[in-house]
Amino acid sequence: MNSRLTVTGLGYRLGGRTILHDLALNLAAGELTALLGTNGAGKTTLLRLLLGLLPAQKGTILIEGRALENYGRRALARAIAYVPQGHVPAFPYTAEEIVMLGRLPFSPFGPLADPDDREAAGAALQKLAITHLAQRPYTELSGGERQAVLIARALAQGARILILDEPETGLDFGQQMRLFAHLQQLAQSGYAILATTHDPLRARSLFDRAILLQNGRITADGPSMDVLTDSAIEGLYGIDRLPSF
Amino acid sequence: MTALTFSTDQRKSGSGIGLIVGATLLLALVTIFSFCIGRYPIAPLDLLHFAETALGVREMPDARYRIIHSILFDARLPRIGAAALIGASLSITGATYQAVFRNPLVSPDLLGVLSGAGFGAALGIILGAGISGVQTLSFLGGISAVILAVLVARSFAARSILMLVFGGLVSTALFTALLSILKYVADPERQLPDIVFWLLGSLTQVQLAQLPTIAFILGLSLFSLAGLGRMLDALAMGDDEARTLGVPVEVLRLGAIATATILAALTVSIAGMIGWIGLIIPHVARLLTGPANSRVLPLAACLGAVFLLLCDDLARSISEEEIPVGILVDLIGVLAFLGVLRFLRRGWI
Repeated sequence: MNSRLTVTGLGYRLGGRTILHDLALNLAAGELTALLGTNGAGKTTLLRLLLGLLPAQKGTILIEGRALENYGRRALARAIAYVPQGHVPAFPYTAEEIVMLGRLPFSPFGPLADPDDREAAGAALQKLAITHLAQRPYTELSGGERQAVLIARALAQGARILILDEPETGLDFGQQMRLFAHLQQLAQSGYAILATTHDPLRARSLFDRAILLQNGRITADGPSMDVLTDSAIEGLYGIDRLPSF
Repeated sequence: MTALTFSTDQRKSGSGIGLIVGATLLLALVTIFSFCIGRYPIAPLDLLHFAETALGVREMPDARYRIIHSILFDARLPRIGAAALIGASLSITGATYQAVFRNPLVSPDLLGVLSGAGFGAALGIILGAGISGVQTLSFLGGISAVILAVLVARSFAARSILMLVFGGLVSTALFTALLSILKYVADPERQLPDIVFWLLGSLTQVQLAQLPTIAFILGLSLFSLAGLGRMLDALAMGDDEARTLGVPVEVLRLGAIATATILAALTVSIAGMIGWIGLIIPHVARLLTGPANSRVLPLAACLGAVFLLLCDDLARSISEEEIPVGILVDLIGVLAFLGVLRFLRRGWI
């Protein structure tokens, strides 16, 4: 299996409290992985560590076979990309301008003149089938469209590891299904994708793999069908009994 | 599909350049217009005649030539140069602050540069430091106020924007209080009127010899800030997101604040408190060309220069007694701002 991201012995403490205990996981090319856990389980801390936004205190994070701390900021951005929840910035940049920001790790100064940069941004828009939105103000797009723009930006970064934070938040059913279709397609074409989600039932059917995080420890990691059993979901979220579906 | 994206994009960036060229031409026209008007109006044809005489193509009575020469170069050039440079500088400062603080309603005095400069100038006036002494102290006051704001923010360890705004509040309050003390102890016959007049903002104290320095610093700042334009755009997405795009957020933010602050302190120290330009002009530029900072900064610089030139033309010509241009800028600025507010696109506030 081709591992794009490998974590071993990862620990994180904040103010005397241990947030993450000795985590080990790896993300393989071609896999769509869900990260599940209650609020406060340490999901956000783990994402921030993987993205280099927090310095690891213990353990190692290997990205494409190289230790995270050996990456410069721009080199890291070309290897691993972050797709946040679709927020609304204060200024009405066009969708294309947002996607072009994904080329900052390649050409940070001056106008974006390099044909390679323009081509990569254009290809990313096309891959998400949002070329028609290119000149629309990002602030006026729907939640689903904004999410697609942010994923296109991540692709423009050239990174092969995508980290998504609750990508389905605020999307209607149709938007969610289109989003997951894109994510599955990207995974199949060789991306390693890790997304946090609050919906274990959907994760069971739409994701290849699931990782359960409970009080800062990984309690299960495997094919989502096997990991996300009714009893595992009941245990993870402290539910007495799942209602029958 | 891809080709379509390219062509629409090229049209768009082309229109950005077109706007900047258009604004530059407008600036040239307004500059010529500004040379013509004033206490002794010079008709555009006379200006042309003068230019031709200077080039040796035509002739003009010697006495008249010398009068026009003196009006243009001794009386008007310093004012016009100062108005254009200061208008441009304040607009760049405002646009930069708005990008760094991700807030379109931020003005250049957010971190206390105007209060600090006001205090410095008042101190200079009370110490009897002369024009250049007042200007130097004012510049140092403006810089000190911003350094204090940044230090206050840093002392709380958090590197958030909110702490910087808080630091700016503290710094502004401190220097406003210090200025009040100086006003209180100032000699009410000689010094207090000077302080009040300085605070109103005026271009009468500008010396021709200062302009090249300001022009150089302005050019350098504009070039570097516009060059960092796309990284400044990324800041609008939030600090973490900008970091994951490879942007060195802290260095960029402090560098942009430092550049913009030096520019603001420099202009405020020679022209006093001229507000509003830094708030309104970047808005107008964004309405015309969209929010991308690499286009907004040069466009705002041109428009700011045009705006202050026109305000100064009014200040010089609507009455016998010259009106401090700062007052006109505020009055016209309020009206302009109400006009701009109507066009604010959704998602701005």
